[in-house]
Amino acid sequence: MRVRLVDVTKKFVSLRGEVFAVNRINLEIKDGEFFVLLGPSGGGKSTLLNLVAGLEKLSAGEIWFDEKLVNSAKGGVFLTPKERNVAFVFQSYALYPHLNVFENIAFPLRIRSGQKITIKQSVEKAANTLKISDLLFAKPKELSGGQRQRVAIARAIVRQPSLFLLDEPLSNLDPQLRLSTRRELKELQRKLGVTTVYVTHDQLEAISIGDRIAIIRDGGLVQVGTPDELYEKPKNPFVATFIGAPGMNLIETSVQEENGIYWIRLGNKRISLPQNRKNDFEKFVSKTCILGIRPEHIKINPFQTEQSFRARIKSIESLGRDELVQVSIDDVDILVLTNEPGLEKDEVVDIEFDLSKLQIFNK
Amino acid sequence: MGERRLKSILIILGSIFMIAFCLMPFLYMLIISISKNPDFLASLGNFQFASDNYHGILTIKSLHFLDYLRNSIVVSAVSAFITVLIAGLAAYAITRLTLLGKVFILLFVLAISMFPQISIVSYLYRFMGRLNWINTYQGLIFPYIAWILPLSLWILVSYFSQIPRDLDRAGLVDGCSKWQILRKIIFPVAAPGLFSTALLAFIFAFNEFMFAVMLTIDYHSRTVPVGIALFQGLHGEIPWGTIMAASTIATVPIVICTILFQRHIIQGITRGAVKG
Amino acid sequence: MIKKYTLKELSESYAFVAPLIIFVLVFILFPVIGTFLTSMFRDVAFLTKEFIGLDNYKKLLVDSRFWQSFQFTILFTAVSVPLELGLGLLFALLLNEFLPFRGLLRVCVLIPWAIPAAIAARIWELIYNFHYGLANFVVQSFGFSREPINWLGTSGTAFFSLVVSDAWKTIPFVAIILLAGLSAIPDEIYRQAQVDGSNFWQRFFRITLPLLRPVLVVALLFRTIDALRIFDLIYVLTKGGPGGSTTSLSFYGYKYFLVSDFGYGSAVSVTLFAIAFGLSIAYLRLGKFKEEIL
Ligand SMILES: Nc1ncnc2c1ncn2[C@@H]1O[C@H](COP(=O)(O)OP(=O)(O)OP(=O)(O)O)[C@@H](O)[C@H]1O
Ligand SMILES: [Mg+2]
Repeated sequence: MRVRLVDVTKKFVSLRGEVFAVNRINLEIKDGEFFVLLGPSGGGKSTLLNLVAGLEKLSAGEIWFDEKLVNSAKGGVFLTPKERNVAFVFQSYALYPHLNVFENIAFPLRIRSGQKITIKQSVEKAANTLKISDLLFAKPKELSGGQRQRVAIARAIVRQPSLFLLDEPLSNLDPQLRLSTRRELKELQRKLGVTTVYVTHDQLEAISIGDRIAIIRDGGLVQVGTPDELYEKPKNPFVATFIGAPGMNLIETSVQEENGIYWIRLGNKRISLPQNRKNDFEKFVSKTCILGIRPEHIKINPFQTEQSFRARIKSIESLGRDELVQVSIDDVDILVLTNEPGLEKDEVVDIEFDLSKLQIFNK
Repeated sequence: MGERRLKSILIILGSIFMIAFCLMPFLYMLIISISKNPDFLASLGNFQFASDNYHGILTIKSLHFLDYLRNSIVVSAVSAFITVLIAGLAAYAITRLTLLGKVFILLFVLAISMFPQISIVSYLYRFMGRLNWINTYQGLIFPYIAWILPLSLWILVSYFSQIPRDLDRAGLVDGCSKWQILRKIIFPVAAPGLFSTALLAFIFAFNEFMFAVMLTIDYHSRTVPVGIALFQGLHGEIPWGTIMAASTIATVPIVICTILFQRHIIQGITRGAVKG
Repeated sequence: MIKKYTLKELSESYAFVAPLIIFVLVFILFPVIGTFLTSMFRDVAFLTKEFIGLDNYKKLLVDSRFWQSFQFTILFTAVSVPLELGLGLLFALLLNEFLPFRGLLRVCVLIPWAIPAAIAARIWELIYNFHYGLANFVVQSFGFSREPINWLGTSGTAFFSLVVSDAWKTIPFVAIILLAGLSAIPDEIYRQAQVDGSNFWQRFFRITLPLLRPVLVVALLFRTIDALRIFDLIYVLTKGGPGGSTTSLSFYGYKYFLVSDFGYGSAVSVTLFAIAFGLSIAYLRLGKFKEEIL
């Protein structure tokens, strides 16, 4: 199912005054897509997900499921979660403490007054899919975090929802379990083919699991795209630093033009920018702007070249296979990811940017 | 060392005093109820066991004790049940739903529970008179419900607000209406809380006196506390043995309940009070 | 702007609180208002009802019996509430110690709470019996007094007797809620204070009491309101006597209702109501409770 958000806005009125938790977001989620909402804490991800689920009501805007209008502030249209047929997995799992696992999974079917036999079959099928068949008669409080999470997912898939919504479902699991569950979740989604919206504030998780990612910040949509697009073409410095670990280096500078060639200056050295990217740099000429370069796109050279900078190594941090090196060019600190052996603190080296990967942003 | 020793002595003495103070009247009631003469203390050592008192209170029809007991139990049980139901609905709305003036409702209800009963009862008396409800069960049950509601509401609000909101949301997504969420999720999860509230409500109704004095006339609806308070002898001498036997029969079940469910009751009292 | 669906949701929410509101309005608030109104009428059985403004209240001012019961009510509250809070605190402190049979002790303390006040009063009536009651037996066998005391027969002893039996009935409530307050104080604070070399009394006055203050104010509030409206005990034990010396305001009003003088009785009730109301507000100010509710 396709989900379309038009000018979606949610305003909370609380003692603090008015808060726009979600502000004029326009989005389209494609059928069968694994869509991730990513952003810092308090950005409005959960609120947006709740709006899609029908757990909150729009203050302005519209939400469409395929050709059906499910919520419109102006039109006074509001479909309940039940009418929208969505399934939700909560961060706290929200298992019913008074029911055992079987009854928890069966709950949505019972509410929809399904047949006894089909209920049993569906529950067992869902339990099998999530490998919790042997837990069916345990109470939630007897289960481990990972098991609870599976039960919550089983409860969500048991009734074939048209939309699958997950709000940070993995954040209560330990790191290893998180990795494996992430993979399983992705697989499950591919198998079921249900359109899925997944909220997380972990960019690694988002990149590895999402078909497309929307970055949400302060209630607004910052950028939407595939993980590769976000990685390679971040729209602004915020996205650039938010995606990738460590984030992109940002360097404040300006672009000069001389004889039809564009230059940038860093410290007391300037380098020329490649001719084939002229279009990208044109509009920044003679303005202060921000250059972005990822740590993995900087090379440490054994010798000086025309395009390299002199830099002093300030610190070295081992990441296992690679090393994260902090260098400074005059006053500017830059992180470099390298596997060059034998580097030492305070050593002076020459570094070179992969200029084809260079990003430039408005200040 | 000295301080600790002194402290434990003080604690032991204090505890003995506490137990004696709390239990003595209760035990006194039990003893008088099974003694032949209530005046055995005056002529020491003259205690004689007798079950006459119990026999009398249970068999002499004109005393109507069993009627009083039945009235009390019916009125208290019905009041407690309905009160918990109504308070449960309201507590659900106050803790979960969009509602303007939640705090106002809570404070209003709290203020109401502080009104002296005397400022209500005369009007109620005439109101019930007009409805022809004096000396009926409903004539007691309705005021009782209103009277116990504030306490029950506060206790239940405190219980309900501890149930995670995500459970409601999960229920909504799973297709429940608000009413179903209340019935299938909140009520079952809060069952211990509902139980303690009902127990407290029952005890409150059972113990109520002023409404019962004003709104009942005879054994058709008179409750045990009033019955026992008005118990007079036929020949001038107060039949203490009989009164104490009646008191014992009326209180021992409640005391046993209290002992069995002390945890629930203590929780109920503290939630009702400490939150307010 | 309120959305259409928000209105629908609101009306649905109010449906859930409606039964509560209706019950409380019909059976408590309206009666109170009715009593207010009645207090401005001459409303006596067999006479025509007549609006007389504040005449009933004017009559109160010069009614020496009213002032007697006013004085009794205030005095009773002023004596019994501090006594109950003090003993209640003592019991709570004891129950908070690691004693053997702690659960059993708690039950013992709960028993007086569970017994209906009217029945408790009946038990105390027997205890105070002049000829063969337990009170005189104890007093005489311990040699406090050679002659039996007519507990309920003289105004001083009757007052004292009422205070004692009221204390018996209500201390459990105070003890239980103070106990809850005590057990909410973390042990580490005490251990820290002990390490800092404080003695028992210092710990009590510097830590326990201040931290217990909110709960104490609650107990004080509830107990004061309850003591002001005392009725059951008096109804059974003294019937307001001897000589009207133990007539509480509740009982005084009740006596007028009994003879169907509703106007005057209502004026008495409203006065009691006003006293209780004023004191509650004063306490709430004292306890700075606004923030703590919700
Ligand atoms: N019911 C509410 N009333 C008032 N403000 C709210 C309410 N719910 C959320 N907000 C505010 O809306 C903003 C967005 O909250 P939201 O929970 O959607 O953020 P989030 O992106 O999910 O954050 P996190 O990653 O921490 O879960 C926050 O500023 C929050 O305080
Ligand atoms: Mg969130």
